[in-house]
Amino acid sequence: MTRNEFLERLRKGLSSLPQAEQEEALRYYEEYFDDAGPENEAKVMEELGSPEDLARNIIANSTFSLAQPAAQQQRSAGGEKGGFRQMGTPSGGKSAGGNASGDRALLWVLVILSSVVWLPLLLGAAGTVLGLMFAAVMTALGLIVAAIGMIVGFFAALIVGVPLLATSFWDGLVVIGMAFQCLGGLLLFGALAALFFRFLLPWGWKQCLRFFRFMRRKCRELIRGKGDVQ
Amino acid sequence: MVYQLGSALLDACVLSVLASGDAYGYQMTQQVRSVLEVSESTLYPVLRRLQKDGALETYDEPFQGRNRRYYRLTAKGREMTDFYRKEWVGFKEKIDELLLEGNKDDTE
Repeated sequence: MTRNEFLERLRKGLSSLPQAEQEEALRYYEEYFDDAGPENEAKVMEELGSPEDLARNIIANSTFSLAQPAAQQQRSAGGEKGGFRQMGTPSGGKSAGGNASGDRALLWVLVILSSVVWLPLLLGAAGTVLGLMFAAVMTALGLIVAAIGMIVGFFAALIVGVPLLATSFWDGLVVIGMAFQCLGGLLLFGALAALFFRFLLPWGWKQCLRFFRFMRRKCRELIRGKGDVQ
Repeated sequence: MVYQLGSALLDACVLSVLASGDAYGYQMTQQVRSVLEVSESTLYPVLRRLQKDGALETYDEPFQGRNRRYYRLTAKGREMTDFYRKEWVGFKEKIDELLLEGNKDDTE
């Protein structure tokens, strides 16, 4: 076998890799042969083993990274020629290599099937949270409307009551008394509305956001946790 | 070689070699193989993985009419080298304790 035949067979063996990966690997080994020099060509080829095995080695390693320590421990390197045992192509091999897509598909099937259970629960919880928030907002608005009503009542009572003092004194006083009732109501509702807007509604809104963020995070964790290889 | 190099140890060796100076693929392989019996097919995947993890970067320098690709450590690579070296010292001490200290008692 010549070096070019070796590289050609290597290239074929790597064809399942993305283009960039193939080029990187081929370039490396081309340079390797160049640097070893033509006098060492045969020795290098003997050391590298069959180009098909080398290609498999490269493919198996291309899916590993330091982020998967568990998968790493299953490999050992050096010492023996040809490196380590592998299970042929990564798609047929154990999921440590790259069967994450198969696991994910299964996970989604389970999610969809079990939606009969979790979907109503989720909708119920979300509905409750939103419902409570809605009730709080409506109450706050109601308080504002009531306060406005009080203002109107206050002025109306004054407009009627003050002239009435002239014609029927005690009746006039009663109506003016009502004006003050309205004033009191205005202060009460106004204060309540202020409390709502200042404290209760922002707090309530924050809790809503927390709830939704929490749900989203749990969903993501669930999906990612099962999709990863442990 | 009786004992096998785990992948972490192999990474550590490659990183350490580069710590003493940039090198190209063949040069580095020869350096490592002058000390350890690793197969020539072992080192490319290690280099590639370290590169993808951001520990190494490559640059080209012209040589005899072609471009030669050199590897050098990144800042992260230097951090990793220090880490691996510290870990090795600790690990070696522990193994020595079991392997060597035990024997000492036998021979005395």
